[in-house]
Amino acid sequence: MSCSMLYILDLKGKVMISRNYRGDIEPSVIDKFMPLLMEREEELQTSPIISTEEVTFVYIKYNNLYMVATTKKNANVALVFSFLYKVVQIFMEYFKELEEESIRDNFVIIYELLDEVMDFGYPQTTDSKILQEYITQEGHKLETQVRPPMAVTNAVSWRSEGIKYRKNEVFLDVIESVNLLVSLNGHVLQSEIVGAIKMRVFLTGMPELRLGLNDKVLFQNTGRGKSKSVELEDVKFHQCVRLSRFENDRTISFIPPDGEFELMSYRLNTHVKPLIWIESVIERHSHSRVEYMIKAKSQFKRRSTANNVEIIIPCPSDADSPKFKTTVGNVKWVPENSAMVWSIKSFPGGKEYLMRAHFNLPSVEREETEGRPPIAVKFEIPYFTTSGIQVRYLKIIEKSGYQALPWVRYITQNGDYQLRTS
Amino acid sequence: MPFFAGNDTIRELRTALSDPAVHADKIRYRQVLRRVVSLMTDGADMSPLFPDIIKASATADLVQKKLTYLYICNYAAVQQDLALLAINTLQKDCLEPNPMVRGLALRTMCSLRIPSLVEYIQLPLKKGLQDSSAYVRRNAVNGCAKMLHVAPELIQDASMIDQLYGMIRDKDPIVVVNCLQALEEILQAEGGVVVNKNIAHYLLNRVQDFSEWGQCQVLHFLLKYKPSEEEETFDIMNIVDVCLKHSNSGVIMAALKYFLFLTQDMPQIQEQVYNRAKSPLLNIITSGGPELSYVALCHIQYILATSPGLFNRDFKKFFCRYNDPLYVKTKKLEVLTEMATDGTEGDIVDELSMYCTDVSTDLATASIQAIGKIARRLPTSAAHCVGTLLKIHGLQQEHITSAVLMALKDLVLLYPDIVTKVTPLLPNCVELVQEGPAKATLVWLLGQYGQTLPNGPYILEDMIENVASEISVQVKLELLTATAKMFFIRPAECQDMLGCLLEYCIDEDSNMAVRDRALMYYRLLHTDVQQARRVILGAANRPVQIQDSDAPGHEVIDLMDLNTLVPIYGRRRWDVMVEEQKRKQEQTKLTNGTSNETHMAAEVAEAVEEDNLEETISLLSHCSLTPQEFETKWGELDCVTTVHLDYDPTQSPNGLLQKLEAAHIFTMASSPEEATQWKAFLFAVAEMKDETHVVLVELCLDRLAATMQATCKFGADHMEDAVPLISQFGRILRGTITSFS
Repeated sequence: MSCSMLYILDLKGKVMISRNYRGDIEPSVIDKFMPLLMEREEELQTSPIISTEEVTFVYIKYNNLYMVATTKKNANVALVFSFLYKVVQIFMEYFKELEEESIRDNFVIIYELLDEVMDFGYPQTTDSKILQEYITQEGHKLETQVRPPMAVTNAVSWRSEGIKYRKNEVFLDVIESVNLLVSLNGHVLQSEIVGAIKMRVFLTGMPELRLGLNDKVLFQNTGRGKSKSVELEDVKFHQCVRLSRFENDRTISFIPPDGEFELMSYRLNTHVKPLIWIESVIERHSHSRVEYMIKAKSQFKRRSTANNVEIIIPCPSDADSPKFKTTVGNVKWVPENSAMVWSIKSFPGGKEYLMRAHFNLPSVEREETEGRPPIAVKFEIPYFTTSGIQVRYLKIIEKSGYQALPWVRYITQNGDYQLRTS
Repeated sequence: MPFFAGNDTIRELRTALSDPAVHADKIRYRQVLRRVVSLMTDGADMSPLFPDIIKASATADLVQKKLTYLYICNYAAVQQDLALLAINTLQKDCLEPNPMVRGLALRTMCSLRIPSLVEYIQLPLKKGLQDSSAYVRRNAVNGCAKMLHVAPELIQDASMIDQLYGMIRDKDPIVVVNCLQALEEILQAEGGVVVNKNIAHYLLNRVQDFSEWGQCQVLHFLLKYKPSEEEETFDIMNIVDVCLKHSNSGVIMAALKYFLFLTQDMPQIQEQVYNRAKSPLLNIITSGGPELSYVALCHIQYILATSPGLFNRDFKKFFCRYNDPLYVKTKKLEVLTEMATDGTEGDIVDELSMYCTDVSTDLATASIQAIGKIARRLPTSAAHCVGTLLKIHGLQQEHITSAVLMALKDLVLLYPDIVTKVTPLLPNCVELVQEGPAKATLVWLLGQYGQTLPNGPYILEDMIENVASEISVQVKLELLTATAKMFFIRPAECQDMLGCLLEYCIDEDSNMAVRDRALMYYRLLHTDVQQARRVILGAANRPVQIQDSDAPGHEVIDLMDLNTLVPIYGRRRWDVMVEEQKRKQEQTKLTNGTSNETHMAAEVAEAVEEDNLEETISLLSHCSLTPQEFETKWGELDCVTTVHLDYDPTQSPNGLLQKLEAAHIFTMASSPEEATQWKAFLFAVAEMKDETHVVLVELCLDRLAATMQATCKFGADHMEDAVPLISQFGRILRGTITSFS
């Protein structure tokens, strides 16, 4: 890929950070970036890749920052984007927030990081766990002997030796997000479940972990075809999982990194009934008022409950004087987002709730047309997975032989959950 | 944006840097350095502080060291003499027990890019390659690649290259990948690093050790090795299969390309590969972030050109989300249009019709055009598409109606039976459509099909009354034709208005095309009305064929272009861009002359821009010049330019002279081959516009910087005359010298 330079710009295009990796371009090429971007925007030709005669700018926008990589070659842009995302992720793990302020406050450390994640335009160590071991907020004194952590040279590059905990614990979260797109006339256009198993590991030494799931392929192989199992598609694992073993006998075995990480992700394309279904009737009387009738239905088992449900219904930006009527929860008008939010603290399965809203419309209609944002729904259903995935066991073996406790939690939540409106 | 940092700031910083109180306080000292670096980032010239910063680099504080090294790298090129002072500390740091410091020092040293310091760097670099710490080795290997441009003779040395090849077997995966990258750059002239069966198998077996970035690179380098047997190919695919499951999209794309490469000669298997790659690609679209999603969409579009139908079953994945950025929506739209087939077109067209109400009028217009395109391509879908278009038309908004009209115009020609559905709409459009091209379309439709409308002529009449305020030439031309056509079918109603229109266009309109057409109609009608009828109406009834220039199958697809910018821009556009890039580079090189020649070089560059190849020169194949003549002429000629060229060190100077001779640039004298300050005097005779001009050249070689400087003197009386001569001779010279193969 070979990036010539990496820049971090503020919204106006002023360079906040720049790192010249290859010295093969004039650092000032960046001055052309903003004008080009504006020009494209005017012509509605925006794209995250802008090529000029000299260089190609590959950029992402994050909050109020532009992260721009420049390259002179016919580069692999997918790789450059992945790298930029990765850098953002590293910064986030260091500074929690990534915005102008945090860049200014952590100026020095950002230069240190940029120095380590890439050399001569080629990515080097980008594992933030490892970086955190030798680049810290406080900085170092040479006397304390900052050595590159063992991990940098280790065979197991993601875990250092000599980690110690008084209490050995593992937390395992199975989180499934539902992405949904429903058409105007109530047809499900897209529906998928993106699952992730996230871990927080506080274990001493170099433990060897084995995770058992009710994986359909495994059950069929071992003759337990009749038990309840799930078919996982598109399974992606963290680097630490021995893929060859998974390929052979579907065993998920690994030496985990320390702390928090995502062990695996999977996807289910099976059609499931949308967990929360919304029906809306919108009556627009131009120049006078608009009326909404929203029906929310929970289509999951009665013994589960969705928490913190928020139904976000768009309304015209020039609407005013809202009146709401509802059987449960409460409704709030958020004029800055041109929407109302119907919040229901707890929404048990198999229930149906109704909400009515009434807005006044100004008698003089606005010139410009408005888009039609979809209704969005946010929710969280604990102790429940749509896929039915289950952790059967998590074995922890360490040579010192300590006992460690695994904690498992299941949550289903909304992903990109949209229902189009008229 | 560079700005002037006042002397006061510099002085203040200098005082702070040398203040013992600040020195004692690590935090405060770091603050000062931080300020220096941050001003440097802003573009202020901080180079006067160089000596102070060098002093600061000799410190035990690692963060402080890093900051100073960053500074030194930035300004070493400007302060070449002082950079020597920095070398001392750097060399010392290379011997530190802490590998972090050793690595850092080595990295910094190799980033200085100053030829005169090479001798100091050589030893630490060689030691670094054998260091016990992988961290240092990584930096050393990258250092080799960095030094390539500064000291090619050091790096392109056989033993160095052997050592790097050996280090491909290093136990640290990052060292391995860095080695491959370094060798690729060092051996670029010979086609890059060689990957034979042994290396390929070794890399494949370790593929999972590499980091995500390493995997991408390794998969890229593996493209250099083509397995000979089918069995081997399958084994390799089994090993690499895991990469398709990686969470990094870059790795997935690299693996996909590798698979396609392996199965190039096995079309059936390739089919399976596509199917295998489908779901990872689709996943990038739904969950990869908008930028990656865009890249994946571009690739899917590219792949669709060779395997249409591949994603047909997943077309719903390409439906737009409300919050997708515009560039993703536009791409999705294009992909959807290309994907529409007999089975899916209904759903796709319905979906496209949803986008017509998008806030972005461009997306709305594009979606209507897309529906039109589908209707043109799939005759079976035409009825549904037209129905949809007519429904959309009901939305009564200018941009929508305009786009619908333009789409319908093409369809009416292809499917004449829809005419009866389209014509009744036309009167409603008149109020809405005001913009040039759309209005012209409307007028054309009225002229072609408006006869059946009871008020057809009167719509035209209204327009004719306002013709004076019409600015679009196209509209006026169409209006002339439409009125003329209408006249032949409903003469009674149209005679007067046609007369008015012709009169206005001939007497008052300032546009030539409009006047000419009006005159032509006038004369035709004047001569023979029946003939005129044949001429004007006759042309309208010819069958038409409309071909979309961007229809699939038009682009030539090379799978090896995957993972480059080619799929993003499309082959044709990319080729044009590369051309432009090359031209630009030539120009900048030409303009890079030394200060007194800059003016002229700029002129030359300008001339190149103005008339690229208007006057061509040719060099005579036979000419002679005695050394005495050469010397006197050299003294006489005052039309001079300097051309800077890159020197390829693998090329011997004598070989170069031979090549020049083949291009009819002859040698007068040259220094012995191995001379450090190699020089040659050349001459040529150029023919331009039947005149001949002598060209004399002094060619000087700077081996260290790998550059050449050619001072050319031209036998021309006036600078102005010589401009094409100078520019073209420069091009010939550059072309000959760099055409090394």
